[in-house]
Amino acid sequence: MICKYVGGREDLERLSISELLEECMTFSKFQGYPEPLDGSHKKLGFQSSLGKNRNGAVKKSAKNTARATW
Amino acid sequence: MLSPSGIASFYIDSPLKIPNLWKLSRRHFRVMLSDGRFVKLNKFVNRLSIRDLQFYCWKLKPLHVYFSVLNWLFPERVGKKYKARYCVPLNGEYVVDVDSYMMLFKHEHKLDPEWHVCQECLDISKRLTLQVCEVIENYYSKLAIVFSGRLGFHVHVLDFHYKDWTKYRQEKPIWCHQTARFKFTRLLQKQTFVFDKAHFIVSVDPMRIVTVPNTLNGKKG
Repeated sequence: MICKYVGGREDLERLSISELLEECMTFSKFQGYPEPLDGSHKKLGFQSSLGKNRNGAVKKSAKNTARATW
Repeated sequence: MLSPSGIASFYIDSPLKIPNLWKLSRRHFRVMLSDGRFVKLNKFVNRLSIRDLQFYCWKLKPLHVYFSVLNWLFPERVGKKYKARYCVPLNGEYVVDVDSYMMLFKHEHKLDPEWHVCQECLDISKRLTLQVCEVIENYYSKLAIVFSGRLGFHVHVLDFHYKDWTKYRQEKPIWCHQTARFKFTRLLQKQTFVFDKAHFIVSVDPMRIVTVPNTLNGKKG
């Protein structure tokens, strides 16, 4: 949800809760693409072979990519 | 919880609009990231403008964006409280956090399937906020109310001044702000129902940070 600026006391008196919730709801508008947060992608094995050679060592470029992302 | 891409698209798709009531360049900003880190934005840029804030929100994809209640001469130096006088506090607003659970009337929680929020709880918060505003208006006139993004409201008293409540002490500037806030909070506590121990302590604290209006509460979705 958005931390929405309402206004002064008069604005709050006039405010309808359902309208406020509609304005503040972001999930449907800004869902973006699905992106795992909890490392579930590792369990599914999507990154198991990413950037590795036959011996299983990680390439230098792949390390750099991993470090550059937050 | 919103996905990082959802947070990034929120900040890039809609321009961040913060009313001119707040002087952002004097504020100290912090963001909470999805991995639990608490990052100072002023370490990247000393004085943040609204464009800088939007850029860092897009880049870091924070769950929460906070700013200090005090204005600082050197916001980039703000850190520990015992060193805070070297950052030179100027003045700042007083903020009351109103949550519905402070005075919960008996009702059945009806979580809306679309919003996952009990509207009755929010309505209680609204009534409590109006009561607080009425009391505060006996002392100050410039109020700004912000929906917290969860189950309550923040009341910003913008014309609060510590000199209304205490004298200035050059060697202890933080103490002046704290004393003024303590006196005003104690006065409000007697007339309202919105202060428990935790709310009292944070309201008195001059180092407090609050959510920046019109930013995202990514935890709630």
